[in-house]
Amino acid sequence: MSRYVARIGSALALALAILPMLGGSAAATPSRTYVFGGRSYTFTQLNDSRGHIAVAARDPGLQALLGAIGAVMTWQPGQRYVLITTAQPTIVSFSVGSTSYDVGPASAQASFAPFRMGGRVYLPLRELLHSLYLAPVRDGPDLLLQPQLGQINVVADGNRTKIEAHAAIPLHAHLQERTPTRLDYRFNGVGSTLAPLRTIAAGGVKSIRVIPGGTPRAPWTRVVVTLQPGARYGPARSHDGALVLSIVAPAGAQLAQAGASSYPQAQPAAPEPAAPLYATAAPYVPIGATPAPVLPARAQVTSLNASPAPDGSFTLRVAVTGAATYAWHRLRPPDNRFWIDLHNTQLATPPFDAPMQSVVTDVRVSQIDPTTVRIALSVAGPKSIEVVSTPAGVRIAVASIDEMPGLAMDGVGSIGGAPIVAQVPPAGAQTPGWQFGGASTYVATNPRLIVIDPGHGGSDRGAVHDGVAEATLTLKMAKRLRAVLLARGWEVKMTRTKDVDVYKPYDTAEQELQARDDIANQAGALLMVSIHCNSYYNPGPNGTTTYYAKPIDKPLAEDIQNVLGRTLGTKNDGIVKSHLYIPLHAHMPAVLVETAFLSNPHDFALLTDPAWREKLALGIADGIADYAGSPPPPASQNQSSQSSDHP
Amino acid sequence: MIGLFDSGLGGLTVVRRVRALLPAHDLLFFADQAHVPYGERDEDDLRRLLQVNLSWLDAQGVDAIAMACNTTCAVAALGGWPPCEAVVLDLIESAAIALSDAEFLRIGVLATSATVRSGAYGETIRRRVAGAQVFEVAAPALVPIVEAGQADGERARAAVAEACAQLPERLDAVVLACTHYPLLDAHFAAVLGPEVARVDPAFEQAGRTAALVAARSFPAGSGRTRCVTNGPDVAAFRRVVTEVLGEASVEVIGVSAVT
Repeated sequence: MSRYVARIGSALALALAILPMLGGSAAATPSRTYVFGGRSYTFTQLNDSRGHIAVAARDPGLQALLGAIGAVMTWQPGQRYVLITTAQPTIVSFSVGSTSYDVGPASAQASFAPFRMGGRVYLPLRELLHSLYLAPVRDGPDLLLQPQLGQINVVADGNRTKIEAHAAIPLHAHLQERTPTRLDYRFNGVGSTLAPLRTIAAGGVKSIRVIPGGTPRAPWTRVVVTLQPGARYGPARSHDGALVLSIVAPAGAQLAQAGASSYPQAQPAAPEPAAPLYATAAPYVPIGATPAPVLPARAQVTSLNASPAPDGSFTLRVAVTGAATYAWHRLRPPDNRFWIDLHNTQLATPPFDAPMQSVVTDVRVSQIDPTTVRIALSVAGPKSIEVVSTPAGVRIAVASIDEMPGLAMDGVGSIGGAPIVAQVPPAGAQTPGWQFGGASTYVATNPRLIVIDPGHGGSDRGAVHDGVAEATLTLKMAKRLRAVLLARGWEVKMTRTKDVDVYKPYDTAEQELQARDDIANQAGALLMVSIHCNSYYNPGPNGTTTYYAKPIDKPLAEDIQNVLGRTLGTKNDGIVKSHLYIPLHAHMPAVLVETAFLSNPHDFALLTDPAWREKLALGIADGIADYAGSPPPPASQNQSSQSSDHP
Repeated sequence: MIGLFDSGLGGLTVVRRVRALLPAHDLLFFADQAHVPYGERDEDDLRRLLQVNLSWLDAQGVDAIAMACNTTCAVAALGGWPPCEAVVLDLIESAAIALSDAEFLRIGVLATSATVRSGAYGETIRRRVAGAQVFEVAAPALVPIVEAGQADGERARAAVAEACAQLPERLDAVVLACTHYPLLDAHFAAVLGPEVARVDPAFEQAGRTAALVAARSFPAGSGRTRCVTNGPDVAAFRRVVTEVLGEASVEVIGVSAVT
C-alpha cells in the first residue's frame, strides 16, 4: 500500500516538472507570465510552498525583466544577501531569513523571509515587484506589470514639510484643483497601491489621500493633500527623478524666515522660484514646469559600430539622429566598467550584449528608461577612454594603454546642439590633454559649412623644393577639395582663394594663423581642414600625417587619415596630436593634413601630379563623409550663396 | 558636497569636526537608524549595509565620503571596499595616523563587538606605529544607550565605567573607536582620569577630509548640513542633531517607506 502511494507521488512530481515546459496553466504549475512595456516575461522558477509566491533570484524571466528596467542583481550561490541596483540608482536588498528588506535608505517588512531551497535563493515576489514600483494588474488574459506611484515621502524639514513622490517612471503632475486647504494632483501613467488615506497631522499637512483610477494599461493616480487651516504651500517641482509636490508650513509660521534659516540653498537642479510661497489667490503656476530645458523630439540611436584596431585600441561609433545629451561614468580600478547614458534618446536597434575579443570585452546596449539609452563597456584594465561628440553622434575611443593617474572619471556632453543639463565635473578636476582647447562639445552655428585653409600664401611661401612652393600646392589641393565638397552639397569657405597673406604681408605667424582661425570661428563652421606639405632637410622622410590638437579633433583626424592611408599611395604615418596653432585655436573640430613631403622624390612626384591631388581631395572629402555623414538640409530657403570666400 | 554615514547618532561627532574645518562646504549625513546597532550584526550583513549606504551617498552626488562608522570600516578592512565613485576616507586609518603622530605606545581601543572581532584596529595601528601594544575591548552596551538619548545619565556613566574596567592598566591612550563614544566623553574623562589620553579619530578624519577637499578643489557649497535618518523617531533625531551641531543651517530629513 505504501509503495503504491509513493509511486503516485513521484508521478505527480514528474508531471509538475514537465508542465512548465509545455506552458501549463498557473493552477498546476508554478509559472507566471507578466507583460511590461509591451513584452512578456515568464517567471518559471517559482515556489508557493509557504502560501506566498516566491521567485528564484536567478529566474531567467526575472533577470530579463530586471534588464528591461535597467536594474542589475548582485547575488552569488551561497550568499545570504540579494542586492538589486535599479536604474535610479536605488539598491533594493533582501536577506535570507529576514523579513525586513531595504529600498534605498528606507526599511520595510515582507510577508515572509527569503529562503534557500535546492541551491537557490527565493525572494518574496510581491515585495520584490513592489520594491521596483511595479504592480501586477490583470487585463483580460494578460497580467500586466503596471508602473506605480511607489512611494510618497513626507519629509520633515524644520517647520516645513516636503512631500516627495517617487515612481517607476518619471512623474508629471497635473494640478486639478486648488483651494486654501486642498491640493489635488493627478499623475498620468502610474497606478498606486499606496494606502488610500494617510493622516499626517503635522507640519501643516492634515492628510494625504491617494486615489488610483484609469484602466490597467492607462492608469492614473490622484494625490489629494489636505492642509491644516492657515497652512501655505509653494509650487511643485521635480528633483532627482522624484516630484516634490508641495512645501507646506504650519499656520502662522513666518515663511520667509523659515525659508532663510532651514533651507539656505535651492537644489542646483531645480532652483526655487523667486517667490516660493504664496497663500491663496496667487496666479496659477503650472505644476511640473521644471526649469530643466525641454528637449525637442526624442533622438534615435540608430546604429552602433564597434571597431577594434590592430594596435589594440577600440572605437565605438554611436550614430544618433537628433538632439541629445550624454553623461558618462567609469568606475575606479580594479573595476573597469564604463557606461554612458544618452538622454532624450530612443534605441532604434534591438538591445544587445556582445562579448568582444579586444581591450573592450563586452558591449551592452539597452533602453534603461523611456528617455535614456545606456551603453556599458567592460574594459580589460584601467585604459584611457575618450568620449567625443561628432556630427553623427558620439564616439567612444578606448586606448590600448593604461590610463594616466588623474584621468576624468565622468563627463557630459551634447549631440546635435542639445543644451547640457548635467553639470560638468568640478573645476580643478584637471584632466590631462584637456588643458587647451576646452570643451568636449562644440555646436556649429552653420552645420552645413566646412572651412578649408590652404597653408601659407603671399609673403609666406612655405617649403620650397625645385622651385615648387608649398603655398602654391596647398591652394591647388584646397580648390580641388572645395569642388568635391560643393558637389556633395556642403557649403565651403576658404581662408584664401589666391596666393596672398590672410592677415597682411610679413605678419607674425600668430597674426596670420589666428586670422585663419577667426574666419572659421566667426562662421560657426562644422569643421576646418588645413592643408599643408611637409618638408625635411634630407630626402629620406616621406608619408602622410593628419595632425590634431583638441579631443574633439581626434575623430575627424582619424577618419580623414583612414581614407588617405588607404588611397594615396604614400606611407601612412597615422594621426599625431600636436599643439599646432590652427587646430588648437579653432573652436570647431579642426585638423591639419600634411599631405606629403616636398623634400622626398617619391612624394614630390605625387604632389606635383594633378591626378594625385584629385585623389587627395576625394580622400579628404570621403574622410569628412565618414565623420559627418551628408550635409544637413538648409535651415531656410533664403540661404545665402553656397560658397563664400576670403581673398 | 561631502557625504558621511553612520549607523546612528554617533556619526554626528564626525560631522561636527568636518563642519568646523569646512564651513563653506555642503555636508550630507546619513544615519542608518533603521539598522542600528551595527555592532551585533555579522560581517556579511555589515558589508551589505556598507555597500547600500555608500551607493546611496554616491547617488546623491557627493564628492567624497568621510566614513563616520568604525564598524563598517572594520568590515571593509577585512574584505575590501565596495565600488564607489566618490573618494572614501577610512576612519580607522585616520585613527592610526593620529596615534602615530602622538607616539602613543600602550593603546586601548574601545569599540563595538564587530569592530573588535575584526581585529582591524590592532592591525592598522601596529602597521603605522612600530612597537605599539594594542588592547581591543568590546563595549556593546554603549551604542544603545546613546541611541536612546541617555548619554548624560547615570546608566551611561556606569556602562562606561564597566567598559573601561576591561582595559589593562598604565595605558598611554584610549581610542574611542566608535563614533558614538565621544558623546559619552564626560564619562570617559571621569573614569579614565587625566593620565590617559582619549583619542577621537574624528579630528584626524576631519583633517584628512579638509586636505582632500583642498587637494582636489572640490567645489564649496552654501555651508548647508543635511542630516537624514531612516529611523522611526525623526523628532528625537532632530533633538540630538541640534544638540551636537547647533541650529544654524541644519536641515533634518526623515525617510520612511510608506506602503
